[in-house]
Amino acid sequence: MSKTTMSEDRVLVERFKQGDEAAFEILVNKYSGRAYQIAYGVLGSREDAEEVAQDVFIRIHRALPKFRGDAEFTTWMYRITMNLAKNKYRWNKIRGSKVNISIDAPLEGGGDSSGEERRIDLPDGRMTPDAKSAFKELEKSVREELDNLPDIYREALVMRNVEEMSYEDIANALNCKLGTIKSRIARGREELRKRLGL
Amino acid sequence: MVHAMIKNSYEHNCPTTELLSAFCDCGAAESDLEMTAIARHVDACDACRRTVEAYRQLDRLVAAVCQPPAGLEKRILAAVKTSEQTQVDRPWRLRVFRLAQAAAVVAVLALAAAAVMRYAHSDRDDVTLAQHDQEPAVQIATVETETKTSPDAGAVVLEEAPERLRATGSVRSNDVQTVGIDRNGARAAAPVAQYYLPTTVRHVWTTSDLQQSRRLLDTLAKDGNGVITWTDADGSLSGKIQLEDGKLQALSTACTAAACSWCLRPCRSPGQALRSSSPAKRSPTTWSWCGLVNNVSALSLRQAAEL
Repeated sequence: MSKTTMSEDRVLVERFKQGDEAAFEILVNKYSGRAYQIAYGVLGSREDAEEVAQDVFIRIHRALPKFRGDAEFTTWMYRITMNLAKNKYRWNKIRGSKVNISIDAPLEGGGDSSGEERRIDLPDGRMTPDAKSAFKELEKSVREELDNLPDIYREALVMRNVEEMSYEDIANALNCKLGTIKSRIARGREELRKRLGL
Repeated sequence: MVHAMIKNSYEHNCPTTELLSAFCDCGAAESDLEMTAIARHVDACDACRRTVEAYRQLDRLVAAVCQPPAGLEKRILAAVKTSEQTQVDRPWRLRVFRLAQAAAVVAVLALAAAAVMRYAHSDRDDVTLAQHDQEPAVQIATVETETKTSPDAGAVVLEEAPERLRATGSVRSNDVQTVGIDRNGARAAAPVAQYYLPTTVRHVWTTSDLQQSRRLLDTLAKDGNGVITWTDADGSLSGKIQLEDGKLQALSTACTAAACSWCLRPCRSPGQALRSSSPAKRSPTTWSWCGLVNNVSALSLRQAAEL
């Protein structure tokens, strides 16, 4: 996390405290994706991850006026996200997860409820249709195998791929030591590689 | 020197999985020197190069899989707005809800207190009578209140000295039930009660209102001498219990039926009192019981026989 970003966040938080709702919208645009990805790492479900991301920002909106700024905004947000995601995970475990599917949930294989194509970062924009199809298949397998990974590996691995999230940020969010995080990421990668036969 | 060691460390040995993973993340590496050495090794080692390539491909795939859905920001902002609106609308509902919550808590506490008091009261009653005979109380299952007289039931007359308690009741199936009891012989407004005596007394009479019956029999016992007698409809069965200073003084039963199916043991002498005894003088195991009330008291008798 760069110092510029941190100071930008502080300014946005201050602006929001002064009553500038637009500042909050900027924070949502900037960090909602990360909240979603972190939640996805914990839950392995897109619907649940989106629900958690919404709850995170509802909480932030309520609590931000009292936010003292002792920690960085992002650290605070990661903590809230992790707490809510873990609560959701426990709830799912008790109730039986993935039983309910949101009617707004994107359809499997791409395309959301509005018929809009799901945004996927393809590795190479010049891929042939066959290659794209193969990549889609692979992506589907990755999703399945990622869901089947031990939770601690999936969390770390997904967070590692969250934009701008450093090892330190992950360690803070997961309340672990740096070495533990490195080890989990490495093991997660290796496990996933083996399962996918790469 | 250190530089040379690191430089050469991966010439022939492959780096660990953790180091290759860290190498993929570059900036998160232990040190530039070590990464440079690993880079040289990866260039030269097919296996490690393939592993690193696989890790990088996995990263891209994981990133693609975890991409937030389109329109997430808008939906989040809408959810926040809705939530805030709900918050604004909530105060009166919240107040009502909290009032309801408080009322529920008070009700639960009141019920709990009542249950505790009832329990404590019933304990005290048991102790009172148990202390009279210095034996533990026996609890007999509560019987449903039925004031009507069934075909196999008979009238029960519970009486003592005229100036004292008088009770009337009926026997139904296996139990004796009073329909009322008072000092003047008038039918009491409150129906039936059930009462248990300590083990040596066994079953005196039972009614469904445990608390009332306990109080009444307690009064009877405390008042001094009391006699409870009963007989069934055709007069084939009768019984008598005598209390003195709260203690059982005598129990007698008689069976006039030719064949008494309720007898704990065959009635060898129908028409005669099966037993008339005083617990003060005789062991409880010698006690016997006969009649309609036996189904309940039989259990007690068996227990007494085992004592």
